[in-house]
Amino acid sequence: MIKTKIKEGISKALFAIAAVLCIVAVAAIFLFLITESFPAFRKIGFFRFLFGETWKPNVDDRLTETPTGQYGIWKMLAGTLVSTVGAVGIGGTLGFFTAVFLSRFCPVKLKGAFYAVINLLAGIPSVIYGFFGIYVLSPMLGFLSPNGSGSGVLATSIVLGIMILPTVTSLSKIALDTVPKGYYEGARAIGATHEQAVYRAVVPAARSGIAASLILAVGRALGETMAVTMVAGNAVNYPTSLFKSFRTLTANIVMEMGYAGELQMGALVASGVVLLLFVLLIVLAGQVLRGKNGRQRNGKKRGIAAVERWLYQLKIEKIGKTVCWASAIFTGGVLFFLIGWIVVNGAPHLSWKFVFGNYSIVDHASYTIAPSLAATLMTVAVSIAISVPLGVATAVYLQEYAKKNSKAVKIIRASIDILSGVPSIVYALFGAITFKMWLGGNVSILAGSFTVTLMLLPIVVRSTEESLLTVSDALRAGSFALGAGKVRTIFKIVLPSALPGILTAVILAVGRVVSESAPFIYTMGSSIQPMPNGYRSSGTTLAVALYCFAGEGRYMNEAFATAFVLILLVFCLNVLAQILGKALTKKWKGEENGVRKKHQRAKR
Amino acid sequence: MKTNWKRAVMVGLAAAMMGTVGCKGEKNILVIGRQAGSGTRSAFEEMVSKNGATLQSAVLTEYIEEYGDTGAVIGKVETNKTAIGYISLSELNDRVKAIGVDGAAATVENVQSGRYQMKRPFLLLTPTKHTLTAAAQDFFDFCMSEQGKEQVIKGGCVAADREYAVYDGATAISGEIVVQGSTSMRDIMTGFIGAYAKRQPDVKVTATYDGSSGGRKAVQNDRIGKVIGLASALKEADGYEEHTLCFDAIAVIVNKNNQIENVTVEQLFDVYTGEIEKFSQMAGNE
Repeated sequence: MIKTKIKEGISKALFAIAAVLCIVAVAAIFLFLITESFPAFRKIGFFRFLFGETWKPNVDDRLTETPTGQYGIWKMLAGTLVSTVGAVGIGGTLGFFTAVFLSRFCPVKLKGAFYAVINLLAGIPSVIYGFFGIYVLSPMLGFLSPNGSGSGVLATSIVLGIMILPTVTSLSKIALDTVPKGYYEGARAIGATHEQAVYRAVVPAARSGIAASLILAVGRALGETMAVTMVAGNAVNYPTSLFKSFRTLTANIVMEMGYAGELQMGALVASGVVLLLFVLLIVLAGQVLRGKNGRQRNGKKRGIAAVERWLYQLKIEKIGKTVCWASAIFTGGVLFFLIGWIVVNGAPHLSWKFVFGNYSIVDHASYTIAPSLAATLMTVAVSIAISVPLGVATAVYLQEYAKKNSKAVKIIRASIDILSGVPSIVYALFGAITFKMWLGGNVSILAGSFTVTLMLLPIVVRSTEESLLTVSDALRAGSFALGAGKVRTIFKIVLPSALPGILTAVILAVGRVVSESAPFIYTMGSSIQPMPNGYRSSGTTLAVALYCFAGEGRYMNEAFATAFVLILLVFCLNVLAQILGKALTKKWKGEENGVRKKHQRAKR
Repeated sequence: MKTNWKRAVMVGLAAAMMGTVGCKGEKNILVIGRQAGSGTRSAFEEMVSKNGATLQSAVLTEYIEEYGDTGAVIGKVETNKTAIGYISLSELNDRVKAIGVDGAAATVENVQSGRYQMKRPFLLLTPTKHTLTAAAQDFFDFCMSEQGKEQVIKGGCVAADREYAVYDGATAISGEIVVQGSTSMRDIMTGFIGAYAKRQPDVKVTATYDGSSGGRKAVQNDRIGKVIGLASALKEADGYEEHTLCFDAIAVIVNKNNQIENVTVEQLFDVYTGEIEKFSQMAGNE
């Protein structure tokens, strides 16, 4: 008896420790950001930093001396905001109409395929979007530009817009799907056409969900780094015209981090703080909206009334169907064009030697991506080995042990929300300063793996929690009734039932490691590396390799082939996740049906 | 209502067409540079001057686009007819065209004879606080030797005028070295590393190119002496010693379809400060 009690106690403590580690991670990031940026803020002056118009850092400036360079981020802040607004304008509109299409206008046969298209778009690494931006979009826009270069505000907004489109679409679709049937049927019953019912009854009812999806999209657009760096042009200007080259805060960090002097580094971390503050504001806004959701249905309509009135006067339902089809075709078209472009250009250059052949620095004429594949796999191994047990344990603690709505749970949840909202470039700053330095000051695969582990935690925790929620309480009760303890129930009943969901989480996490690039550049290595011989040597993941090849401009064939391999990997992971997701719902639905059947039989 | 939409579409189309027509004719010069902190940029800005004021001191540079590495600059110039940029001469390839400065073409001979003025040193940095490991010292000796000079010439750089020892490489050495710094030195270092690997196959050389300041910092932070820094601009500071490996010139590059063959330093100054906006404004100086 005492033995089991000790066992139970220890396990509970272990789960709790995992959950606390999430808080520690958030605290560490904040502490780091504050301690690293505070001296720079003080030296430069808060207002001069935020509203200063000149960014001319001097590499020799130290934190202890009066700065000789100028550190004003105002122009870049404006750039970040303008490109975000542009992206949400393009991606949000397209995403919204695509969601309406998927939810209400899509032929049933097409639905599954189209949803898969959206999921695939969401999984494509941002470097590939950037690559597409440089070599397809920029030259196209160059014809219109006064200096022949397509880079600038418009190109960035379009690329970012396409990147946030899947987020907006999938979340808005869920919001539209969950609108009670009565809204649509009621509208039809009083004589509305299909279009009128959708745009006048269903869409307004789902508007808080749609707004929440837009807010998430804003977060993603704000924090995006690599794709933006590739198409923005990067001169520090006010984004005053569509073709003006400009620089965002994230691009500034990734461009100057490797070169930064002492004070400059502090200023870069400080701009990371500014970014993070924006993201926090957005997370908060999202939470407020989510809270509103419950009240709104039976309460008064409030909030963005003016916008709604304007939308109402647009009489959008008259052309709604056409717009829907158009944006859906555009979305599908983008994906097919993107994939087609990469396959057509990449497949001919793909060879056994390029993928698996050994690359040595001696005959540098022919690069291979075998070292990058190895580095990617090594990174995946470490980050999954740490983040999955930690994340699953945290989820178990939250779902199985903690009292719902207790303060501890709220703090842990908030930490996870924040972790998932932190832009990847801020993780890069954190990793480059802490992990890299702890590991001897040189870039290493281990430093990169640790950095990305932090980014994976929220993904694992959230999707594990979701799958734990679907495990029916009857199973737990049954296990307890048979005399099993809590630990036994968790390991023998709950976790096995939730396994497909957890595996999906793992796959999502792997996908993230494969497609991220910003956090690796300054922790693992920024140029193509030879075969790593251990975790202490430097390496480039596939996505970073693509960034190197594409940025060089000299290795286009290699770039296309690498992009092809990346897309293939993402595609396989996507299919795997879909299959597992289906297994989960089948299992869950199957049980529900079983219970219902039993009920029916009992009634008879 | 319907007519309204039609009208909107018509107006939009008309505006788009007007925009296209308005942007025809000679496009503005696309002024491309490297980002702050780059050795190439600081060298270029120090060399280009007008009436005694350099670009660096003028603090007037009006870049239109800035990129993080040489390859990106080449790629951008290759695809834009009116682009101008600057790169290391050793990185020059046939995808872009180098133009002469003040009447001298950007060639190794002209740099050696002093006719082409825009040159700068390529430096190897070694730590002063501790000694290099055996492997790193051996690699360093190789680079500075007669065999290294061959690589310098092969890589399109200009050898420094000094004594060269012969590297014998008689004793086999093993170990790990990190070579880190200037992106401009990527090509020449790749040559060095390749040639060295043939002599000492057991030495593993890892190369990271993150800019001259990255190289300086790496040497300052290194605690075991396995890092050799690469820098493409002179700058004294604690913790490292600078050794001139060779000299490099900075080439001004334009698109291959551009007719221009030569510029003066003053014109470059005007282009990079935004005074000259179109290539046609520079005609008649050839």
